[in-house]
Amino acid sequence: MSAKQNQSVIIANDLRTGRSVYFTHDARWTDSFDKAQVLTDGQSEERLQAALLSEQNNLVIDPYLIEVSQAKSALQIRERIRVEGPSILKQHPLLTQDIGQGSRAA
Amino acid sequence: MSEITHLLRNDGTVSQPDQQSLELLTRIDGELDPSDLGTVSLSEDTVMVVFNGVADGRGFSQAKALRDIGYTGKIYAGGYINPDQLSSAFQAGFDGVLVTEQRWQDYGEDSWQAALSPAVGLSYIKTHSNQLDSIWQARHNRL
Amino acid sequence: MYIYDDFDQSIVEQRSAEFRAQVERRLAGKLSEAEFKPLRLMNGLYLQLHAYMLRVAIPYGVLSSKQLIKLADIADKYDRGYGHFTTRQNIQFNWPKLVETPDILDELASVQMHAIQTSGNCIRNVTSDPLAGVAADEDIDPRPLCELLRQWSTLHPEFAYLPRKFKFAVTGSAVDRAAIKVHDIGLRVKRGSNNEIVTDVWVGGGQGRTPKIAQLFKADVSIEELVPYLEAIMRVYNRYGRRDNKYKARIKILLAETGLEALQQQVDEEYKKIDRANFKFVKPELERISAYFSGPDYDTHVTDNISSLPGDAAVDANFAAWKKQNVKPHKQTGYAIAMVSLKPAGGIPGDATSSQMRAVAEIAKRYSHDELRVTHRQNLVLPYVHERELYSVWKALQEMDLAESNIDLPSDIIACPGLDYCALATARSIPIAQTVSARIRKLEKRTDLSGVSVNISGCINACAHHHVASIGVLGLNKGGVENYQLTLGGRHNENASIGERLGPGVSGDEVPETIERIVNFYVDVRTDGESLSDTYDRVGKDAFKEVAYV
Repeated sequence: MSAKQNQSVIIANDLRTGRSVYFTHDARWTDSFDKAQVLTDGQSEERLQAALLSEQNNLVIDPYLIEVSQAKSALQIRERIRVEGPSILKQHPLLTQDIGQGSRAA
Repeated sequence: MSEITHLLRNDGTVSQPDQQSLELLTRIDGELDPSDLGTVSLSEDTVMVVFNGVADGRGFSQAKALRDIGYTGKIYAGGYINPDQLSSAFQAGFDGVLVTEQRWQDYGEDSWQAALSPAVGLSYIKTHSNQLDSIWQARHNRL
Repeated sequence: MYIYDDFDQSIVEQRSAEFRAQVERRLAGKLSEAEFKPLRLMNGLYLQLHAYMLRVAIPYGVLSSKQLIKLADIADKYDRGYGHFTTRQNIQFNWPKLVETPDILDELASVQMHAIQTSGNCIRNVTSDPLAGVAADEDIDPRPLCELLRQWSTLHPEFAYLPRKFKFAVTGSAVDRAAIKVHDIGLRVKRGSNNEIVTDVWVGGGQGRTPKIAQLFKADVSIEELVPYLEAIMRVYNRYGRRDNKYKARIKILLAETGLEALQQQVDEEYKKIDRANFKFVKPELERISAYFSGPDYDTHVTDNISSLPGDAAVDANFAAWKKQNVKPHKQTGYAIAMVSLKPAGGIPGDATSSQMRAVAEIAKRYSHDELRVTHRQNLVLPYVHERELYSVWKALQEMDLAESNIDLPSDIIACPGLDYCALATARSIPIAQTVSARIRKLEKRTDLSGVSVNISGCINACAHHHVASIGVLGLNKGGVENYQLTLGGRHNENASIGERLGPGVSGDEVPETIERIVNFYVDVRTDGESLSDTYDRVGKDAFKEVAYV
């Protein structure tokens, strides 16, 4: 196999809300997965160190790298559900709010 | 290792413990099996139960265990006791909690003082004589 | 039901104020996440995949209309308009913000509720028979003892940092609807030989990765001795329970490693050291509490012949089906217990929207003396319905999609939140429950399947009690793909048994068909009155294995 370039994104939980957030190219946190910086193998460790500073500064909890595809989709099912929200088939018929809304929903 | 600089008592007071007597203080591990407490001299004026980690609650039963063997002196708690555990320590029968300067600073005076407020900490049951009054006691004395 | 006095009220208010200060310290950086985590957990606040999750205690499953309306309000104001009822008779909110949680706790305190000790390594919410105090087959109403234990365990100074979590369940009936044998301590309250109240203490049950059925630890404990005896058990467990490995930290492992007799002896030794004079308030307190559970003023006028009531079977077959399946016999003549299914075919087990919660609360207000129950099977109960009102109750429930006639049938699936929400899960459970219930509901309408139960857990922690279902489903992650193991032969009642793994796991898509094949085989070979687990015990694993895997 040829050496395939792995790609990743840094995910964490926002301390105040608990929601999934992603590390951006300018070292901020966004709740939009689309705005997350995609990292190559060469960058990921250094960026993770930068992201961990936000944990020390009590902005986020538990930042870590998740693997994403070339099309920027999380590879592991657990992380895909974190990004896209609950995968529930039929939602509550009497519900007024959309519970399946993840950070990638339109 | 930072020095013990504060003695917090179950009457809500904070004082500076005498350094000399601290040096002579008998220390008992929170994790010590109560059946090994026999080595504690019953004539000691004061002993300190040392909590070696915040997640290990065995130390909270040592006050009762010491009373069970007939010890009548003062029982203090020390080591990894944080402000959020003060009320449990007092309710479990400790006469006071000894805090190092480092830990006093780490949590901040506000946190320690707030935890000492008399508003915090009654539990429903008193299970041995040295404990603070309990809600069941207060409720039925009133009834 | 029990009503707080000013002592109880001050505890929940202080606790809420204390948590508000802890949240402020966390946000200000005075507490690290490592320090804060045990504090938030002791107030029921988890951090899950998408957000925080708040688990609110519903002590022994008893709830007033006013409290349920408050839960609906919280769902709308601080969450996403729904809640999830759990196997421990609690409710979980899936989307609260940390910064708003102190406000939620204040709102809960305003209706005498809290989230204290719904998580953490402490004594958790005491669970009980959801039909306590109304079941026709009950010996003793367990609720006063449950409330006594709630108070005893709340902020108990010695037991807030145990080796692991600790769960109590209490029943007062020979038919066990509280699954007491799969709890750390299960209590069976009954009448002793002189008609006095005594309790059998079962110890060491539990599920998770090492499922165990509890052993009878001490029989016929008098009510005066019970609390100090439990205190002795807790002290021995706290002292000797393993702290080196969280998977070996429950009392079931201590019991297995120490041996029954040796552990009983240690507890007896500890019990002897307890100064019983300090427990003199237990009995008057139990008497004080009991007064709250004397029950409502029943309408004892014998009314019309029941068969002529509106909604007679001849009038409405759907009502008849609901009445047959969801209505249970009441101890009071003329009354019935109406079960409210939170398991619509294809729905999310245990979830209720805020509008459903309000509707059930209103129904309870009008027809059930303002009171409801939550069951460990994740349904609701209207405990005091007059038989002449059953039809009206059914109509009102039907309007809100709450009248599925499937209580205790296989589509009454217990499911945990699974990988759709839970940070510990290895696979999804809700979507599996949805496809299985939609499919199996059709079978239920053709033949009697009351001898089958299906429970689906999304990881080995077994929150959905898959070990004790006749068909258990355990979701795992195998090489990055969800994979579901089936266990057969479990029982959650007084004859509790642990299911046996059938064979290799199957994919999520294959689960509904596999279950259908197992159920069809059972229907073909069962003898009269035989449950699926009975049939399994009789015909053996191989026969089921052969039909399950094609």
